[in-house]
Amino acid sequence: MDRLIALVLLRLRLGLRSYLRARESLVALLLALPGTLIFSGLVAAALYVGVRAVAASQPESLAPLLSAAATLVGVMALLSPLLSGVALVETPDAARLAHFPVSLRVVMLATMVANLAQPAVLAQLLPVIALALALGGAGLGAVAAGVGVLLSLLLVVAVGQAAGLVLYALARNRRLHDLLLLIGLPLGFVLGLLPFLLLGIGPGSLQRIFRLLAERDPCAFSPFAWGVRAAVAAAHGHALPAMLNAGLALLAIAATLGLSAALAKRIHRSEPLLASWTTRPARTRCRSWLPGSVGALVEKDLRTAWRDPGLKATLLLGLVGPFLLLFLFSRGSATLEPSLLLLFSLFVGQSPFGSNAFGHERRGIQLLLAFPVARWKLLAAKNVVQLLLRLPALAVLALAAGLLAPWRLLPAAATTVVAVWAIAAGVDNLHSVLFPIAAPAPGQNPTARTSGGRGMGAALLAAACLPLIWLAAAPFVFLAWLPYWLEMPQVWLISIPIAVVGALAVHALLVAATARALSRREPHVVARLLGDA
Amino acid sequence: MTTNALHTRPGGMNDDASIVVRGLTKRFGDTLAVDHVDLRVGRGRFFGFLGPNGAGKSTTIKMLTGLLQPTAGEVWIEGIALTADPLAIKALIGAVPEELPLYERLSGDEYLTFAGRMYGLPRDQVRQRVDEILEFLALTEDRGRLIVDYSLGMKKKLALAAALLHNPRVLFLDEPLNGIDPISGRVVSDLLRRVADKGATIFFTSHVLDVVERLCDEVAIIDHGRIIAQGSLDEIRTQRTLAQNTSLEDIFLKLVAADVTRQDLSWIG
Repeated sequence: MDRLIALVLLRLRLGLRSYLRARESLVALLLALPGTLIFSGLVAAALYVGVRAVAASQPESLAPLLSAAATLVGVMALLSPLLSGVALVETPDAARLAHFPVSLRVVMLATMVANLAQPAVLAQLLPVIALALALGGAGLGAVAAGVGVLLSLLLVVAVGQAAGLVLYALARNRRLHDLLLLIGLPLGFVLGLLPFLLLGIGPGSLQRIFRLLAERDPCAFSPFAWGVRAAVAAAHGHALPAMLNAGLALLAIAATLGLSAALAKRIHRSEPLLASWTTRPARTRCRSWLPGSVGALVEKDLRTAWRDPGLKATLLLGLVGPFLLLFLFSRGSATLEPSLLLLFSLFVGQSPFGSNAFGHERRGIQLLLAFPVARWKLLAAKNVVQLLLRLPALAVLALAAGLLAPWRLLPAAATTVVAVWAIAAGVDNLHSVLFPIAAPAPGQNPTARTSGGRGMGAALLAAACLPLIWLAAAPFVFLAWLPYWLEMPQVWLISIPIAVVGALAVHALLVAATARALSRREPHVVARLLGDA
Repeated sequence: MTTNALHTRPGGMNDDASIVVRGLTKRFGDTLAVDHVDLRVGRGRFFGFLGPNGAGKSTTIKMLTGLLQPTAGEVWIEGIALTADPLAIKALIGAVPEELPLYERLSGDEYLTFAGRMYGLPRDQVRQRVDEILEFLALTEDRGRLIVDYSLGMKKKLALAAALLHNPRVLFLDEPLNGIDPISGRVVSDLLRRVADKGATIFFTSHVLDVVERLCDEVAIIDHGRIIAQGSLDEIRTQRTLAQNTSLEDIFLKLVAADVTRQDLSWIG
C-alpha cells in the first residue's frame, strides 16, 4: 500500500510540476478551465435530460443507447494516444519504474489512479454524476448507478493507458513510429470533422441511427458498455444483471491492467512488440541536383521535410483543406463570388506566415548557423522550400478556384496570392528571428517546455502580425483588382507586373532586414531554440 | 571577409596564436557559468580543456564558436575578432558540439555532402572527401542509413567527419570520443594528432584524462567558471611544485580540490 501511495503521489507531483514549470501550459489550462467546466456542465445537463426522457418514453432503449455512447468514448480513449502522438515519444511511467522491485500491476494501478486526477478525466465527473442521478434518482439507487458508470470510466482510463503503452512499444522502431504519426494526424483531422458530418446529415438520418442502435443493440458485448449496463440494471432494481455486468467490467479493468503490465515488461526488456522492420540501407552516393549553397539548403530541407512524418501528414492534409474551404465558401451558390474569391486568395497567400522558418531546425540551428553562408541565402532557401512544399496544394487550389470562379477574375486572384505570399513569407522570416520558437519534434508534446512552450505568446504575436501583412499587401491587392472594378481588363497588362514586382521588392527588403537581424541575434536565436535562454 | 577584420589582432598578440580569449564571461541569471576566462592557444597546438561537470567547458566552447553571446570578454580566432567577421571565422573552424545537432532525417552520406557544399567545396571535391572519410571512419556500409538510426558512436564519427571535411584551421571538439568504441577511438585520436601535427589547432574537451595526457600539448583546467591552471603538463607540475611523474588525473583532482575519500555507506556490507 505504501508503494501504491508513493507511486500515486509521484505521478501527481510530476504532473503538477510540469504545469508549474511550463507557465504556458498552466496559462493554457487556466484559460481552458472555464470552457471545459461549461462544456462539461452542458454535457451533464444534456445527458440528464436525455436519459430521463428516454427512461420515461422507451426504458428498453436506455441500455443499448448508453452502451453505444460508452463504446464511442472508449474507442476515442483507445485512439487518443495515436491522435495526440504524445505516447510515441514520452516514456511511460511503467517503463521508467520497471527496475524497482514493485509489481508492474501495482505500478499500472497507481498510474491509473493518478490518471483519474488528470484535467481531462476530472472534466468527465460531472457527466458521470448527472448520469448516475438520471438513472438512479436520489439516494442508494444513484450510488449504485454511479458505481456502474464509474467502472466504465475506469475502463476507459485503463484502456487509454494500455493503448499508450502499445504505441510506445511499437514506436521504438523508428519506421513504425513514423508510420503511426503519419496515420494519427490525418485520422485526428477526419475524426475532428465527424461531428460536422453528423450534423450535416440532418435530423432524419440521426434519428434513424438512434433507432438502429436502440433496436439492434450492437454494443451489447462491448467491454466499455458493461459498467453502464450495470448502472442501468441497478437503476431498474435488477440485482443479478447489475452484479454480473459490474463483475465483467471489473474483470475487463483487471485484464487491461494485466495487459499494460505485460507490455511494460516487454518495453523494459527491450523486446519488440512486432517483428523488427528494417530495410537494407542504400549504398549509392547522395546526388546533388541544385547548384550552390542555396541549392544544398533547399535539397536538405526538402529531404528532411519529406521524411518528417508530421510535416508529410500536414502537407497531405494541405491538399484536402482547400477543398473544404472552397466547399464552405461556395455553399448555396454554384460559383465563387468575387468578394469570396478575394478573401480566399488572401487566405491562401498568407499561408507561409506561421511556417516558422527556423523553428523546424530545432537543435539543428546550431549546425545551420555554424556554416559560413550569407544569412540571406539561408532565408531565401527557406522561402523557396516553403513555396515548393505548397505547390501541390496551390495547384489544387488553382484548379478548384478555376472551376468555381469566373475565369475573368483569375488574374486578380493569382496576383493577390503571389503578392500576399511574398509579403507573408518575408514577415514570417522576420518573426521567426525576432521571436524564435522551436517547433515540436515529430510526435512531441507541443506544450512541453523543450518543444517550444512559448507557443501561446508566439500565437498572439502572430495574430498581431497578420493585419500588418494585409496592410503591407493592400496596395498590390488593390492594383490587382482595380481593372476588374473599373471593368477595364487591358489595365491588367500594367497593374499585374507593378503589383508583383512591388510585392517582391517588399519581400526582398524584409529578407534583407531579417538577414541583418539574424546576423546580430544569432546567439540569441540559438539559445532560444535550444531552450538555453 | 574584410581586410580590417583580418587585422584586428589584440595588442601583444603575435602571429603564432590561433585562439586568444580575454575576460570571457557568461552569466545565466544569477549563475556565473564562465568567469573572466583568459586563454591563449598557439597555432598547431593540441589543447585540452578540462574541468568537472558544470565547470563551464561547453559554455566556453559555445561562446568561442559564436553560438552563445558572452556577457563580457573578447575572442580572436586566427587573428580575427569573433564579433568583427563571424562568417570568416566559421569558414576557418570546425566544431563537434557535445549535443550533436545532426539532421537526423538525412542519411550519413547526404549529411556530409550537405556540409561540404555549405563550406563552399566544389562538388567533385565533396564527393571525393566524403568517400574517403566514410571509408576512414568505417561508415561506408551505413552511408545510406538515416542518422536517426545511427548509434551514438556513429553519430560522433559523422559529426567529426563533417567538421573535418573543409580542412579547418581550428577544431573545437566537445567530448568527441565519448561513446566511440576503443578501436574507432584510437583511429580518431591518431587522426586528430596528425591533423594538429599538420598545423591545425585543436581545442579539445574530454573526461578521459589518459587520452588527454597522451594527445594534448597543453591543457587548461576550469573549475566553477575560472581557469585554475594552464600550460603544458610539465609547466603545471613546476608551477604547482608537483613531482615530475604526477599523472594528469592526480593533477586534476588536486587542482579542483576534489575530495575523493569517502566513508563507507552505513548499510553496505
